[in-house]
Amino acid sequence: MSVVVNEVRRGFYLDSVALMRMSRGIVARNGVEEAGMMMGTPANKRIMADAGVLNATGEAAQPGDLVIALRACDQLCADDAMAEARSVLDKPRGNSGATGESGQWTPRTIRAAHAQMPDANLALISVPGAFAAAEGRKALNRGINVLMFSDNVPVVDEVELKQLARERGLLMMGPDCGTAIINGVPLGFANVVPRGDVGIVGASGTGIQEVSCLLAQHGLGISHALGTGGRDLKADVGGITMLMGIELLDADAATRHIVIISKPPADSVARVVLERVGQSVKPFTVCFIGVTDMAMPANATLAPTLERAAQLASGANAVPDPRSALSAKGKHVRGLFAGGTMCAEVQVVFRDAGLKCVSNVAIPGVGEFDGNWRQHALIDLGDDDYTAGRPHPMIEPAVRDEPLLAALKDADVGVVLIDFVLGFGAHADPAGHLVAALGARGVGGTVIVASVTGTEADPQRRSSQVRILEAAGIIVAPSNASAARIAVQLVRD
Amino acid sequence: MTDIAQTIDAANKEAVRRILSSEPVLIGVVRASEALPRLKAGTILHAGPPISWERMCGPMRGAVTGIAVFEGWASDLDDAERKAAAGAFTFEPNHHYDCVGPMTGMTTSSQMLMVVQNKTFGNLAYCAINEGLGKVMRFGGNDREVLDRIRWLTDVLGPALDAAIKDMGGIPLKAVIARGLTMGDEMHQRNVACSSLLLRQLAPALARTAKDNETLAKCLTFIGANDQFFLNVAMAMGKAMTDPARGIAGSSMVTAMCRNGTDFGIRVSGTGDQWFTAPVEMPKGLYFPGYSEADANPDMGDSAIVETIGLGGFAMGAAPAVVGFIGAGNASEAAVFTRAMGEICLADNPEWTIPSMDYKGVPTGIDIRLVVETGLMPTINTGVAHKKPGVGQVGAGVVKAPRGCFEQALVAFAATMGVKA
Amino acid sequence: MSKRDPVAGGATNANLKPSPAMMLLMTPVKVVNVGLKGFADELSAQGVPVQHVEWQPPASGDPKLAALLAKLGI
Repeated sequence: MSVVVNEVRRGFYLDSVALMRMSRGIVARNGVEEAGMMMGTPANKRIMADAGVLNATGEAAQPGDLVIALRACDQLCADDAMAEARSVLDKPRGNSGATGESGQWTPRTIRAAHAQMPDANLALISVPGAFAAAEGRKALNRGINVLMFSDNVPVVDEVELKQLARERGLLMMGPDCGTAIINGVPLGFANVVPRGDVGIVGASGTGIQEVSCLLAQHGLGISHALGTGGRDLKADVGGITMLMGIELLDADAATRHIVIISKPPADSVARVVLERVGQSVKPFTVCFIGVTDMAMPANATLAPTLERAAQLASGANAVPDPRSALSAKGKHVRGLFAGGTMCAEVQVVFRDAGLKCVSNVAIPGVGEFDGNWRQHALIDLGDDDYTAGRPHPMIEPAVRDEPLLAALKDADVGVVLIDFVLGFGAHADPAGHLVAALGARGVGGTVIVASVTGTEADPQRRSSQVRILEAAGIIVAPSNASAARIAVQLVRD
Repeated sequence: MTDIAQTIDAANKEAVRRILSSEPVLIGVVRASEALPRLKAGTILHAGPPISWERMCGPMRGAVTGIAVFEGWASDLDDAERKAAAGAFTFEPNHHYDCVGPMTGMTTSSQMLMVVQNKTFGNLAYCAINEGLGKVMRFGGNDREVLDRIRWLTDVLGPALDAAIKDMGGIPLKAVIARGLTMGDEMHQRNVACSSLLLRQLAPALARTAKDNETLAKCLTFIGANDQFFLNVAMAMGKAMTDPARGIAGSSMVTAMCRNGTDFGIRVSGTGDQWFTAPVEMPKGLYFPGYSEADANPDMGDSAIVETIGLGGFAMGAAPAVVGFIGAGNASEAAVFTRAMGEICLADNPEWTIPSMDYKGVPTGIDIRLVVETGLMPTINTGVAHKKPGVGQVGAGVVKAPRGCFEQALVAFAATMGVKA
Repeated sequence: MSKRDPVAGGATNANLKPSPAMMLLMTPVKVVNVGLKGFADELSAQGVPVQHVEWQPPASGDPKLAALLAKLGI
């Protein structure tokens, strides 16, 4: 008979990455069936309840409380695991109390940090969503620009924060802004790309990463890449940050060409954004992913894909896709993506190639994934449904192991499409992880086509990752769109 | 910023200004009955927020019975205890009489009190003379030796000090503190530098005014042998500096922190003279040989008034030697305490600086909002009394103010601003 | 008419001064990091000045007190 044990620590915060690392250690212990260490937000409690580890104790936790929840085979194992969890939590981490281990004080508040660094010009905020807006407000009220990595921030707060920022002439990137490059400094999930004269304003983090890396491949650099957060171009937010980003890059002497990246915006927002674009004398590339016909101002060109946006901004010609000697045995493509925008871009390629597909993050013209795998299914593993309570696949590639192995076993699947996103914030060796996960069985009879978003200067080094994949028999395409076309080709042949 | 935030900001600026612009001067030593006409026979002032005999801890009861015998209100300790239980004495906090007292903090009508005047605002504050170390009333001691010493303080040292201080025209205290900080004192657990500095200034005047050489020698010996002599001066000074900051509408600054061995109490400027209390915590620290935490009485005394003005635990960075009391604390961690307290304070005191922290001023003016926000509780350096009356001091260490007082105070303060919880 | 329009004619020094957002693009980035410690470590490793905040939920995670603090200017 399994035993569920919960413990709650009031007002105890650790960042989710640290907590997930700790939970993994607990799960690995003898007799432990499942375990979670999470802040007590309603969403997290639901996840723990679904995993069968939550009891009334944990259920009573507040969003600011830490819940330690575990299920073990018997009381002895449960107690042992709980003791281990306590000891891991109590291990000194920097200066958690007034008696710091380091002999150095780390500020507890933005106020104190600002006193320590009075000329700080950017606050990078990645606290849990329920608390992020309050911290953002504190930074803005102190005259500090904000990059808010946190997601699950209520949209009313987003609007309020962005209006406050606009009033004060401050840049409010996010919430849910994964990527920015400012003055050559990669922030959040970003790649080490050369500095140059192309500026990017993007509502999608991986979109910014793919375009900036493809530009780097074409020999071009970035002046600044500004993130807006995924909801900025929705009607209720009205593109406040997008408009401000355009304004800034338009005025920025170092920026020659401006690339805009977003999912298809609300009509009302598209109108004001394009109106602002038209007021500039600089050339623009507008990538509203999947949008193929929309009237553009004279100085702007529409790019339906990230790949095309990079080509237009660099003036580079399309290169032919590498041809594969392999052939697909199964009929269908299974796409398993870490990057949501990568998944969207692949859908564009499929749709425009006239290949019917479904997705859990379907773009216009593509069907919703309904659980039926007997079709071309393009899945964003970074979507909330998959990541709730788990690390994002860009940080923890193990999230993809299970669906990948399932796809390889499925005789109906001829081609597996996967993306790798390198750079800061990302896993240290996602290619190595994948090859290890495949193990002795290798790719088997399935063709795996991959794209690797990254540069030679990234910590993971793109060519090293490519080599690992190719050595394992995986086809590596020069871009995500190219990988999609190869997959289309393979299942059509 | 919202209107409310602006109002609070302005009120807090004024509260801090009143503390920082204070000019505290030790002006004499006076009999309590003369200085405090409201203080009647039979009234016993104690440390901390209000408390009844029933709820008093052991040392506090020990001190009460001792001082009742000293005042002649009871024939012996047993008689005093019976009378106390029967309600024969009135108990009131020192803070209600412009007074402060360390540990048990007994103040009664015939004792001699040191007087600090805040020249900027004219107000006065009082504190009894420090009894020295060992078995003393502030730690609940109440035997003949203890009472005789208080008698001597009252009859001999008090008048002698008064004459000397008046002869000098008063002793400005800000400069003494500033020097003491550069010499390793934080004015709560360590007062050796300031006690010496004070004695250096007093000695010539004492020599001029003392009744005879024998008296002079005894006075000098007593002060010179007591490393904590200055503590009570610093406390009266703290009270004199914080009182003008009381009752500023809209200010969330703490104007007093004190403990009676049972409850910890704070007052906040914007909520006037209301006490917010929560159970005191146990100090953590080092114990004299033969004693342990099992012997310790919970936190006690008005001495946390020095933390209220940025000294004690808040000035730990100036006193690396004191960090040794916190168990495993390294001397290099002293600054961490001061930085931590900086997070909950409104300002740094530019006149009281810490050389080893690049002359950072001591953090001053505790803001209850910042305490509740950060969860960083004020750190208080303190002595530890034995829980049984009469035994005395058994150790020293640090203690944290309990969270509850600040949370209650925040809710009450918000109500004064028209903000509902 | 002698009075200058505060908006249209306001191209004074104050208006010419770049906004703090523009300044961000013109000056070296100096970061206050609130949340994931890894971000601060990566920035430090690149030589970017960063001050990490050892963040804890305000008011020890008590939502009522946190809301009160927000109304009181925190």
